[in-house]
Amino acid sequence: MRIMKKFNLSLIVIVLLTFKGYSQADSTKSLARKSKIEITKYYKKLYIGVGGVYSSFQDVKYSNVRYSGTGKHLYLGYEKSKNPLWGIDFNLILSKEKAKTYTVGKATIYDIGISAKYLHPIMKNETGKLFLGVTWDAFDLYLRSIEDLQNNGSDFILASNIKISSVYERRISTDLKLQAGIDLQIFGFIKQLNSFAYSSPQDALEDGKFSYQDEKLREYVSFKYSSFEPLWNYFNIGTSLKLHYKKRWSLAYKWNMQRSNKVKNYPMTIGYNSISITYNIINKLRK
Amino acid sequence: MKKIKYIILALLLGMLVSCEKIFMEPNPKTDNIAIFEEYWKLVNEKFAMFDDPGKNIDRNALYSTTRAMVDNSIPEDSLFNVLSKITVGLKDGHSFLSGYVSLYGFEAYISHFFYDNVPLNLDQKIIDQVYLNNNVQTQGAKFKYTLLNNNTIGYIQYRDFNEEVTTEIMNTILSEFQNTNGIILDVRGNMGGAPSYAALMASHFTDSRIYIGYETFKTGPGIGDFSRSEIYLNPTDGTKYLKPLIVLTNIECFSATTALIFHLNPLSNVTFIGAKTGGGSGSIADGFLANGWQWQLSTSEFIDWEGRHLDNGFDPDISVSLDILDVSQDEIIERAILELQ
Repeated sequence: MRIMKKFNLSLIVIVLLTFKGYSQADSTKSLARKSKIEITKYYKKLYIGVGGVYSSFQDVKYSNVRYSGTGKHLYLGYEKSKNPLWGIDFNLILSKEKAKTYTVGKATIYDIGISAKYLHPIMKNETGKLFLGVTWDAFDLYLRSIEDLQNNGSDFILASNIKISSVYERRISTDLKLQAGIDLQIFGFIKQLNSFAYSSPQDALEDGKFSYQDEKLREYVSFKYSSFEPLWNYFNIGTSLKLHYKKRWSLAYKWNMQRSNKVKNYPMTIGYNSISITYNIINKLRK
Repeated sequence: MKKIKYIILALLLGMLVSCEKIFMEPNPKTDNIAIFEEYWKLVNEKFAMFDDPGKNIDRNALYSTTRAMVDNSIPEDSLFNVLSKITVGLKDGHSFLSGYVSLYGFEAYISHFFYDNVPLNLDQKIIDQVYLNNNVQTQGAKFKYTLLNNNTIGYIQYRDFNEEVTTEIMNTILSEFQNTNGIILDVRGNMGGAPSYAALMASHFTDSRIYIGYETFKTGPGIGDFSRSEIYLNPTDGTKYLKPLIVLTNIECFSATTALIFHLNPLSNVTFIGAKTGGGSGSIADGFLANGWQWQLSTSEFIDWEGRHLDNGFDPDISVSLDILDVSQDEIIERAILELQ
């Protein structure tokens, strides 16, 4: 709980600093100096990104041993900013992880997601914009397969999440633009395969809905047996830092953490850190 | 001032890098006592059959007697032997421990071997030579079927629930048997696989929804943290066979085959002939200990519609043994034919 508070405090400080930086940049003095590097007022772009990911997980229901490893990250998206900022993203992560304390049971991770975002500018000046809005992970599927295991050899989390999102854009020079973002899940519609002691959703078992003839208990493409989960049951946070270079390229760092507390005191934690290069296939700019 | 602001911002963002690690529990220790306690915690919290009257397990005694054998100085094989005592003490064929590799490269495996010293009551050679020697058909990887007794009785042999059972396979077989007086379903030697296949198979032998019992699942770490699901058998949309069905059993009918038995048992057209089964009625969970040894435990228990615990085996309606000296016939099949005439 103390860690959680500390973590939330860090987030608040980041957001406040961002605001503060923005208001400082708003002074008349700085306006004159930065008039040549003003933020683009309107753009629309289609982009593709590839990179590497460092991923990890720990599922305390079954073991305290942490798994981690590396993999690939691929994404494709469309983003448009006129007054509001909106966009859609397709994300794919493939990763191989191994346990910290033993060599058997290597894990393969797949994470596939489609999300849409809509953010409104809440502050702006000649060099920067701050957006606040909502991201909807329409479909976010985390799949894990562990070698040598039977029933617990597979696990998945199928989610449709609503997140509060904030993006801050700042023009650093005529060629460079910084974009920082944060997404915090408010609630999600979530189905997780592995419960406390069996490979069926915890709610389905607690509600006495187990059946040998209901294949949807274990289907990762069906939202049946999903449940609405608030922030404290299912915590999902992501940050991103993108440095855009001229019209076509950008370098991005993304971090995402998901933590399921569906079984009290037996959390499952998943983390991704990715560094990627993005190429704007289409990028129409207007100042 | 501005530089300081960016440095602070960068540091705070840096705090988020791999920040998931601060939410994770530390990696567990791998010394003997830690491994013992890890395994016991899993058993104590997840194993669902401590209260099975047929097992008569003293949970506290199992812990105290085995814990006394462990300290950090005993060799790895001794630790494996102690953990094996816990595993065997659960008296459950689904629960096992494996992964200790000896100096000779031999990987140890320990479980409760329920079939040791029990007659098998199955001789496949006799079946192949006497009953499957003519007009045998196959479906999928494991189904063999034929007509017996002047085409009045259908015989289906299915030995492995790891091999797929589909509605199409069942439709094809049962369509061929529509004009028979009854079917013999021989699942002897079937040690299990996917219980969903068992339920699918059973769904072809009823035309109404039938209550078959309930299953208790471990849903939390507490001794009483169980949920209860009432289980029904729903009829298939495919081909149904509602004439007499005789299911042949032996000690190797285990796990998913027990699921087949408890799905079929409430049906009035079904009779079981053969020997007591191996049981294995629980659903299972598995994983690794921190030293890489693999565990598996039963984390649920099925109680049938008549309140019977089936994990320790199911007694057939008609007990028949195989005469191992007589290789001219399978007495269990012969009895089933007799019942269907």
